[in-house]
Amino acid sequence: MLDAIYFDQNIKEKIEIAKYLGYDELILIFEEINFEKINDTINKLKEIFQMNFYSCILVDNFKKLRKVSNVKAHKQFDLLFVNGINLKINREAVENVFVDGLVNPQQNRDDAGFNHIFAKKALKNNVALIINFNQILNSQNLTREIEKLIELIKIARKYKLKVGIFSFAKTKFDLKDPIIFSSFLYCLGYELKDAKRIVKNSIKDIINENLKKRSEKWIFPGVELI
Amino acid sequence: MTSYRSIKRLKALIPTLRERKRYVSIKIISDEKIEKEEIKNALYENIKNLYGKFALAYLSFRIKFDKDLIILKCNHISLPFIISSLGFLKEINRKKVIIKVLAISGTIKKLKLKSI
Repeated sequence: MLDAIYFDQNIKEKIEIAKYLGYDELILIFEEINFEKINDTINKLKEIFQMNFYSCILVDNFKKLRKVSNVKAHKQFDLLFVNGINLKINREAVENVFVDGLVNPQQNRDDAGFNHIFAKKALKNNVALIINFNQILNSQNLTREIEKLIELIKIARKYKLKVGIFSFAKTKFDLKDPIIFSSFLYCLGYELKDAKRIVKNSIKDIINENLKKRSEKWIFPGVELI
Repeated sequence: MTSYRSIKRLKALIPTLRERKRYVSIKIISDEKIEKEEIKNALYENIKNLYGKFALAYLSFRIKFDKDLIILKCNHISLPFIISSLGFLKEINRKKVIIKVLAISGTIKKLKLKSI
């Protein structure tokens, strides 16, 4: 089971609760771009908790995105997520080869912020659709938010997009049991089998591919030293 | 005149009409102590807010307490809806909570075994 949580001062408390809830791997989300610090903390936490940790950078503007979307920078972390705060950045995220996930494209909008054109581009560039459960839970209009999610899931199912659902916990109380996520996906329109698969290893393929990219032999998509 | 007590229990329904039950045992983690009555009210209110009164009737939702275990009873169709509703329960009486689903079963006996 895989979950994504924010990296902050209460990280150890959150990891312990996540372990109790049944997660064996965690994605740590960093908003600051400091590669040395990120890699140090990941290595330290791996030693303490004997768990798999993956580093993820969450960007929400073009300036940061340009800074990290290149081969040299991408070798310093495992995942790159883009927060879908507006349509322009959503479009940029699905067109960028270095981006691994688009988080909640429906934010600050009346519609889903994601259509069939975006879906085709995302499929081509291997960008997953990520659901931030914590943000949905704290939204002002939950009904509208769920409505948009149903629309997103409909598109994702049609184009066979990779989907991930994570708690994006800022405190330990934001963490949720994995079975809650699979049931929620079922309620949104997925088959139970697919919902369970998504929660178990949704974006594992992307992570494994990115781990390969971090080796020195990897040069560019399709180009590798043998 | 026959009293209410003298009336025998209704005969059990035939299997095709009988509802298939599911039991879910959960554990509530919180920094503060929470009373059973508070849990009961919060769970009912949460489902009512999310799905409405009519759906609550359809779910045939009940709550039982067995020592430390909190057992939720529902029909087998509504099981995912009950579990997903637990994700929307952030606090009980302004006390923040984390909910862990311990086990799901068709009988209470097996549920207790699984929950250990």
